[in-house]
Amino acid sequence: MTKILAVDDSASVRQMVMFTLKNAGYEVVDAVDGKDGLSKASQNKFDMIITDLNMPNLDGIEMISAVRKLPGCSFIPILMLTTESQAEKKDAGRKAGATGWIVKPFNADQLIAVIKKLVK
Amino acid sequence: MRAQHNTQWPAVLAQVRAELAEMTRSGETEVASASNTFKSLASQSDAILKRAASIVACVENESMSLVLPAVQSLCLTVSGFMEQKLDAANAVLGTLRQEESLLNQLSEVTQRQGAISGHLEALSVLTNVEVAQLGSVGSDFLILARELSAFSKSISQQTMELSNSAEGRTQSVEESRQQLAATVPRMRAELNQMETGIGENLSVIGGGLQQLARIPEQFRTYAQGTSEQIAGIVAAIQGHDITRQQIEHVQEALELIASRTPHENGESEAELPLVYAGLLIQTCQIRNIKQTVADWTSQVGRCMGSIRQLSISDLVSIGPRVLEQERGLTSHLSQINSLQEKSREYTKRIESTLTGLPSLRDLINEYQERSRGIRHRLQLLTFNSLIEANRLGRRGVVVSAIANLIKEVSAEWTAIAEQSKLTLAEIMKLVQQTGEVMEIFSEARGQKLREDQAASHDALENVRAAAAFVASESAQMQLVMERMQSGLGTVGSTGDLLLACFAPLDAALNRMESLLREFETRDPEVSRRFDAAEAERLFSASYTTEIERKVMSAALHGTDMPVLEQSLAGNDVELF
Repeated sequence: MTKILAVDDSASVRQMVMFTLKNAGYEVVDAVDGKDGLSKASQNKFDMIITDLNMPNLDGIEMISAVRKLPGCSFIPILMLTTESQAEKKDAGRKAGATGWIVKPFNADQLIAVIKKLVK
Repeated sequence: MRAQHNTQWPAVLAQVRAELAEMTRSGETEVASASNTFKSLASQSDAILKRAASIVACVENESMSLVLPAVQSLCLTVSGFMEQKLDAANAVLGTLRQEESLLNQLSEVTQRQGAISGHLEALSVLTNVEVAQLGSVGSDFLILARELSAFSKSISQQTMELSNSAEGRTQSVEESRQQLAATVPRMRAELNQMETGIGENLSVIGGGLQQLARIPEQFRTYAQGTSEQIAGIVAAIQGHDITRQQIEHVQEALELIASRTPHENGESEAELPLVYAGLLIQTCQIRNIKQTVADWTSQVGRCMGSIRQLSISDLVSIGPRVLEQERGLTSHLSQINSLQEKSREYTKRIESTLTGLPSLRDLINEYQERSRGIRHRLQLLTFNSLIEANRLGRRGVVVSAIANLIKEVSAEWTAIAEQSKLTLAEIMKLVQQTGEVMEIFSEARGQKLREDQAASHDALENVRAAAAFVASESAQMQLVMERMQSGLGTVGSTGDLLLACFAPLDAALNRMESLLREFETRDPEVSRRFDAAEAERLFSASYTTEIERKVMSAALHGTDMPVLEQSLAGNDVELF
């Protein structure tokens, strides 16, 4: 079963991501901030990571950079799920290693479709 | 006149911050509660959808589409089968009428035979008298007299047998003909009634099956509707996160503003315009937050209410309706069995009636054989009596006359034999026709009917099973729907409860607007004295949403405020 890590400091967003992905048949693990997310990514094997940008302790961009250095994590798809839409932020995310960008609120059907496309 | 600082401003700002913080905490709690309510609602919707999906799978099962054709084929077969039988019964009626006519002809034959028997007896008496008169000369003639008498008795016996058989047969034929003449129209009327009933039921069940066929589309509409509402709630609850961030940024900004507010000890009031700009921006941000909250909370409430109201009543009612229609059709189709039973009864009657015909043929055949024998004997008698008459000469005049009479009787007998031969030929034809007709009543002819009955029975069983399944699943769906509607009494007020959590925004807004008015009262020019670029730099550093930047820009430049558009669709994924 496809395993996804959902990282966001907002409980309501984590709930909605988990609801959407579990209903689609995915196994989901959540993390409350970048530090928690990095820890979990280093201890478990995930097929995809969905992460917020603005979080305490470790923000999304820093987390992605660190995750990309973990063994076996160079190529897993990582989607940013954030309120940010500025081009500079997107560019920073892309350079850090993000695969895609979603401005909140996400479209559930679109998200599932992209996951199916990115995770074979 | 320059604005003078107010020592209460920081306190007011602190109060606003505290109110916003408290509101954020209660908002988190309420959103968590709404999320749980939503997940329960979604779970029940999912339960309904799963049952509906099983109904759809059942309905889309290919065998359902075979019902109407199977029943229609059966009705056609029954109609054809019964029509053939009824036509054959009419043909049998015709046969029986012909047989009656032939039996009348036979009756004539036996009457003529009876007359011949009488003649021969009379001739026997005459011969005895002549023998007595002739004395010893006529002794040879005595044998003739005895033979004539025995012959007469034999013919009389045979005639009686034939006459009794023909009479018995006539009675039997008459009875059968009367019964059949009454039965056939009745059967035809019952067949018509059955056809009409089945035809009506077929159109009703056809309608029911069409409704069943629409279930997949209705299901897809229902599923689509539910999916859209759920997507709307998922998007709307994410709006809370946007609101939370915005409120946090306002709180940070208020702290920054408080730190820039001059105190009584005479610190520079140069920052007052910047403070004013900050207050202006935060006031606009709070107004926008208020609007945003109204948008996503109403979307949550609206979508939850819509899920609750999505109607499955059409789905729920179809199963029981189809069951009812199937029962009606099965009841009508059972009339076929009843008709078949009746048809078997009159088939037996016809069979027993018609089996008498070959017996009659055999009797007449036997009669024909004996008749030939009689003719030979008559011819021989004629011959012998002519020889005897010749031998007697003038004394044989009476004998000669008797011989001639015997000759006439022989000719009469030959004519009767010819007539009975013709009658026999007609009866042979009838027997053959009967054989052909009886084939229609044979069990082999009923094979297609039995096959179609079996096919219909199987098809209707499928309909029954499917309709029962649909009815059962629908009842379960209805229960879940009722639980969903009754157990989630607060669903409709979810949006209002969420909105109520953010009521302190009004108080915060009032305080901010009051502060702004105070500034503007004390320094009417303050709005023209701040540096917009500096204010933007200072207060946008923490912004994480596009809407915040737009609100700030509109506030600083006096343009129209933007509106955050929450949409059911949510935003797409952009892949790099």
